[in-house]
Amino acid sequence: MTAILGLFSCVIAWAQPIVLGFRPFLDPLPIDGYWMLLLIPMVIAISVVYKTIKTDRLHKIPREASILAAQIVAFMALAAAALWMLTELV
Amino acid sequence: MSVKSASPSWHFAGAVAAWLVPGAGHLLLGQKGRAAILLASIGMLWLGGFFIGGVGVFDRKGHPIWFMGQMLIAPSVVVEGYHRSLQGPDGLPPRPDDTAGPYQPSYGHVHEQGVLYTSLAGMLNLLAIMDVLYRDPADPRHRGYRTRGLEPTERDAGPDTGGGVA
Repeated sequence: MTAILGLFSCVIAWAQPIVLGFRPFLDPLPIDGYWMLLLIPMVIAISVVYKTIKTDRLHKIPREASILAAQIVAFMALAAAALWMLTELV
Repeated sequence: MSVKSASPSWHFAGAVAAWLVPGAGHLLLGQKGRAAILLASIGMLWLGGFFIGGVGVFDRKGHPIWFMGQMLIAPSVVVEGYHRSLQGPDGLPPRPDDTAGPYQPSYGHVHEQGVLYTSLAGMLNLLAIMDVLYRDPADPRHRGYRTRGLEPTERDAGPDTGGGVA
C-alpha cells in the first residue's frame, strides 16, 4: 500500500508542472522530447484506415493493418538509417 | 427479399456526410462496421493532433497548404474560425510568455506533430469520402450497401463485409 502511494505521489510530482494551468485543446502539450514516439499511433491510424477501405472482410483488418504498420515502421527505420549513413559517413 | 442487379452509382449525400463526420458516409450506406472503425481511427487522429498542438494548429493563414488537408474534415473549418476569433484585433497569436492569453500557440515539434496529425486525418478522410462517393456493386468491398429501393441480403450484408443492414 505504501509503495502504491509512493508511486502515486511520484507520478503526481512528475505531472504537476505539466497539468497545472494546462487548458486542453487551447494549450499545446509539453511533449517536445517525445515527438518521435508520436509517429507510432500515426502509422497505426494510417494502416487501419487504409485497410478498412481496401479490405473486403472486416475480420481481416487487424492482421493486415498490423502487417502494414510494421512494414511502414521498418521502411521508415531503413530510410532513416540510410540517410544517417549518407550524412555521417559519406 | 431478392436483390436486383445494381449498377455503379454516385452517393453525393454520403460523401457530404463523410466530410462532416468521418464514417458517417459508410453509416448512411449501411456499413456500420466500417463506419465505426473509420470514426474511431480518423476521429482519434484528428482529436489527437488537436490535443497535442492545441487550437493553434488550425491556421489557414499560417500554413495554407496544410490547412487544405485539415479542411477535408469539416470540424477543422469550425475550429479554425474559433482560432481566428481568439486572436487579437491585429490578427497575431498571443505571445508565448502570455500564460493568461486566450490560448498558447505551439512551436517546434509539438506544432509539427499537431499539424501533421490533423492534416493526415483529413487526407485519410478523403479516402473514406472517395470510397463512399462511387460504389460499384461488382466490387466485393462494396457488396451489401444500401441503394435507392434496393436493400442488401443477409448474405451480402453479413458482419464480415461491414454491412450489417438487416
